[in-house]
Amino acid sequence: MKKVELIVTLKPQVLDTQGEALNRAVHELDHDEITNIRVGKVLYFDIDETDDAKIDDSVRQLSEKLFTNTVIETYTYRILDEVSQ
Amino acid sequence: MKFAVVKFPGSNCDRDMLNAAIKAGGEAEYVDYRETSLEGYDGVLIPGGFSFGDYLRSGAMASVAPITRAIKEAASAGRPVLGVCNGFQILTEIGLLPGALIFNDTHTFISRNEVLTITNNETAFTSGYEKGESVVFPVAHGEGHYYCDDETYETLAANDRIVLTYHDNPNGSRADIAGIVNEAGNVFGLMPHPERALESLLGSDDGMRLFEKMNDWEANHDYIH
Repeated sequence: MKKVELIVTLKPQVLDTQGEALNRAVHELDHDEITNIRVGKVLYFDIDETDDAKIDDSVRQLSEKLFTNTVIETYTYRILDEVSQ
Repeated sequence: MKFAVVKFPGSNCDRDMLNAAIKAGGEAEYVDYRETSLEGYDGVLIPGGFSFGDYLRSGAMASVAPITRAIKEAASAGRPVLGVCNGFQILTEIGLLPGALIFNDTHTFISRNEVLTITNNETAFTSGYEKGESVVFPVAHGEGHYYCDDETYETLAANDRIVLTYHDNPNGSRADIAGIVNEAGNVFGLMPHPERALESLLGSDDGMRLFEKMNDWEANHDYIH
């Protein structure tokens, strides 16, 4: 059993209204050093599999079918530590 | 014509859609999202709302619901499939229509009557309108900004698949797009609500002709590719 962290972000060319609004709020807090805020999502899940290739298969299939909309989003993932049972 | 109004948890325009189909002279019944067949229905209506609470993305959870396979089968069999608002979002998530609907560039939820142009009246959905005719349908959405890449846009434009556009673009949609059809011309997705424009007393009855033409689908065959 492994834990997976999947990060979903909007493609760079897709307008991120949440990011825009946050940028403005951050600048109102006088943090002008911060720019280009982009908001994404992170999913954590456990997978009952230890083989990295099989994990890759499952994660990719589900990411493209459900977890992301590949028209507007991209994803990256990493396998975290073994889950203690 | 007998229409299925597909109900998801969080659908909230299902009754308006049912009423529209019946008012246009058709029959209509609700079909639960857990069903796996649309046998016996001549057309499919996917209503607006917030299916599955918009969890993950608008329409994402609905795109893997049990009824989805039957919706795809109905579409490939050439039966009319209409998706309004969340129904349009679901059709893009399913892949029956290209592109995606993202947050309005205004950052606001927009709920008002919108003036629209019928840019293509040579579809079985819009043959009751004049080309270039202005119609008024209400809009009510936070994520109605139509997004697609350049290649998709070129394909849509070159094949006259942009059926409906906004006069005064409320949400940042590419090329003012409010509604598109699939390549075959039997799947129509739009953000504005024709099912809320059936009574002039309530502001507009411009939506009526859309449902009347859907109910007259067979006679409209010339328009289906």
